[in-house]
Amino acid sequence: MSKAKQRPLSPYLLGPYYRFEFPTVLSLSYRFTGIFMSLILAPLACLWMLMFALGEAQFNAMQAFMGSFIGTALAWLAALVMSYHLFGGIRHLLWDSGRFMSKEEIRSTGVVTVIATLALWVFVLWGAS
Amino acid sequence: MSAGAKDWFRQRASAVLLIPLSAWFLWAGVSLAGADYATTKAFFGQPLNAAAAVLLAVIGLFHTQRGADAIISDYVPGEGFQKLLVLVSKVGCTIGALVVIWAVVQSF
Repeated sequence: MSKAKQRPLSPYLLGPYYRFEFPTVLSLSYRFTGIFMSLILAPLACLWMLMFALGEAQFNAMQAFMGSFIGTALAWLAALVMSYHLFGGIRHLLWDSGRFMSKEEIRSTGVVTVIATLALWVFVLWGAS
Repeated sequence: MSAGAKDWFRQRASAVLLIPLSAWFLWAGVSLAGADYATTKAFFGQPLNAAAAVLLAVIGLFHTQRGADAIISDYVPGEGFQKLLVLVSKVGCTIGALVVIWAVVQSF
């Protein structure tokens, strides 16, 4: 095997390496929200734009779906997911710049991220209602 | 810059640009919830909204593809299957961006 292929895998398998705690939940949620937006929100938004481009009848059908129970639930969930990935992303950018790397700061920025996420989510839902 | 550094930088640069664009998306979602066709057409007929939609689609789907790349290389076993999924994600993101650009152009 070449040297490049012998690189260790990242210890993403929690197992014996990490305890499951608050930062773990935030880290998993960050990945999950990214995957949700890739597989559900982005295709849904593109489909919405496609139906809009196809014409009024298609667009009205799309808007009727978005106004249904499932459509509304998806939109509410998408707002929460996007809000979390937005603030979680800012947290990651701050880490990338070398800030807030201590154990205590990882916890405190995590709390701030959750509060900001919920605040923006409520604000968006309030705006939409 | 090495290929890895370039990749790292692009992911972060797209992330920074997506901060205001995500805020715009949430605002647009609120504005267009339940909107009729004419209202929506007028919305995307405004140059700022049209530009934001196109930028969000291009930068957002670029960011999506980079993220998909990371997820695939972390969790998918087998180089062949990885390459296939990366190709699928690239094709999907490209189609998505083209659809949005086309839809925005239609509203002018």
